[in-house]
Amino acid sequence: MSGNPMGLSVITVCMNRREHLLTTAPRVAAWLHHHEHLIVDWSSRTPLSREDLPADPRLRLLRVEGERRWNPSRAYNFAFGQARGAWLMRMDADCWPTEALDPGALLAAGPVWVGQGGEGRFGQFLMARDTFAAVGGFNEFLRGWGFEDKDLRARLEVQQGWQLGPIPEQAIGVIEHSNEERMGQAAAGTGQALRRSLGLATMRSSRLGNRLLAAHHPWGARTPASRYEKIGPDTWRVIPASVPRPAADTVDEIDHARRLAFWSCFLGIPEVFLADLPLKLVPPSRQGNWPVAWWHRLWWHSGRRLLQAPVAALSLGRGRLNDVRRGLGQR
Amino acid sequence: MNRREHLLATVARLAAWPHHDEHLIVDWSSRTPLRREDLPADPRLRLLRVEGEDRWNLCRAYNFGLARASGGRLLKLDADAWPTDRFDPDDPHLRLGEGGPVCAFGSGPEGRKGQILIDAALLAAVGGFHELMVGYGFDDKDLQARLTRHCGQGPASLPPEWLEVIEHGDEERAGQGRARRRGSLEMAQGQAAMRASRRANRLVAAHCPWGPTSPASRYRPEAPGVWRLEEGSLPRPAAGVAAELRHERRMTFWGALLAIPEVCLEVLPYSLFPPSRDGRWPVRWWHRLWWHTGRPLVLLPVGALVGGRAAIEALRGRA
Repeated sequence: MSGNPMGLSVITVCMNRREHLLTTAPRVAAWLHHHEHLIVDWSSRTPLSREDLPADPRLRLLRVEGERRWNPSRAYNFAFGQARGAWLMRMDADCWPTEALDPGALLAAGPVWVGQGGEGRFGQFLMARDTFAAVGGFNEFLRGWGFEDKDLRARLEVQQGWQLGPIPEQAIGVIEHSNEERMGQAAAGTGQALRRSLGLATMRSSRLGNRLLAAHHPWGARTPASRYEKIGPDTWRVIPASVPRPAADTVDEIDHARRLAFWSCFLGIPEVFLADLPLKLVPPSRQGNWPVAWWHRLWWHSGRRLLQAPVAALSLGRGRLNDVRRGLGQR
Repeated sequence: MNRREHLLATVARLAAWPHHDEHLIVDWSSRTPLRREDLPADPRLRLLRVEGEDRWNLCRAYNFGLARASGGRLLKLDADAWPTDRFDPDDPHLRLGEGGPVCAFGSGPEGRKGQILIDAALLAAVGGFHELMVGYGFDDKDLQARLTRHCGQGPASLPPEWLEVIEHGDEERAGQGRARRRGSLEMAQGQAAMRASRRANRLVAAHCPWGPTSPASRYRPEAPGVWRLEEGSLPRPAAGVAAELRHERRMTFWGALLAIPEVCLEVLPYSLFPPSRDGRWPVRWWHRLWWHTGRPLVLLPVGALVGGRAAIEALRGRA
């Protein structure tokens, strides 16, 4: 890419991921192929400061103020809009390009390259700015974690007919972390099954919600995206009225699906029964946080285990019967 | 497909409607083929048949029919629906902006929402219905969402009183036959099948967005008025997506029917809760046994939770 006068921008957006970034930013700075590393601080509680980051002149730090929730779609669309390169590479705060990643060689062989391998690599990509713009970037109707990368891929591949090449697994380094951390929760230690269960339930509900949003609100180059106003040097804020919002009936359907998915996964209560429980008992999330109360924890330790007992019994009984049948059949 | 009774009731009403030039009926491999002589002697009526389909597929069936219609403006009308005297396809409110294309979806009670009046060119611009969807549900909402993205505004509404619909249950819609009584296993099965189908079709739309360049099914004429799918032309989702859809259908159907949460279903043997075969769910004796015994038992602790919390809250209130 060093021969390309338009240059390659590496884009990183993050919210409260300072520790990851302090590990990965020096590794990006040590990489030779980019002209700009743009980092967008998406309203982290403690703002990132330029002094904490490598003294690499290619590194630019911007901040978006006033965001209460992590929103990778909006954050990356903002960042790609601010990037100067003609070639764009998404690199999450927990990822870095290794020596094995040669963007010039990849782009000579194909127009769009996407991460593969471990979960953290999947969302990363390399493509021309025009290609990203042709599908309107990420779908800004999506909220929270999950599916924004798959949605973008689907629109590039299915709508635009691009062949997506796989970025070799060893070309992207990743800091591994748990579902709980992805969901903005503290990592669960040994013996903290409840916390792990909470992380899994949060992730599943977010993943389902975003799939449903993508189905109800397909995104495209003509869909109006969020707009931002500059409120200080390198600091921006969204114009609230410009944020795309799903239709009211879609919001109801998706909030309902998210709610059932979360509580069903966390409490082990079938969705068909949850739908009948009072809303106060299994409430919706507030700004992405699930209000887990004492009685939920009590249920998790008692009723959930009880519910699993007959299922385990059925599993054992039927499984054994099948084993016996198979054994008899073999004779 | 196999909706002869509905069609015989509605087709005569449509023949009495004065606003159309063609009524194209596609018989999607009904077990007993529809015969022209059973339908009104209206010269505007054309009957085509697609042979060899073993399952109802609204999206493929309508894409086939709409592609063979001769009009520049199309009214998609299910076999159980008909337009009333009030239906005026030339009403300017049905256009997207002044002089814009006609694009309007049915509104009001269920059954009307899937009926659509649209300019053929606009329908072609978004690729018609999404052919990767199977079973029942979300086909019309998906089309509506893609039209909204394409046009930059949502479609107009056909007033509820412009359409009449024969009412029928979810089980019939989901192709599970007519339920015998409310609260029966058959009814629960129909509702679970529909739930699974609705959820899976939403995921299809999310994973595989449809458009004018998407490869749709192709058909070859087999006899006058009779067509059959060209081998190899049926669109299929990528293997990874197909696996996710299969998993989601399986979890949703068995979870809803047997009231077993997904976290439990996932760890139970796969053979106990198999996927559907050609849209039919293999409900066995042990599923029925569980439905009549274990399922009500599972409800007990949930009821205890509701009751227990209410009691504690009441005690707190007194204190």
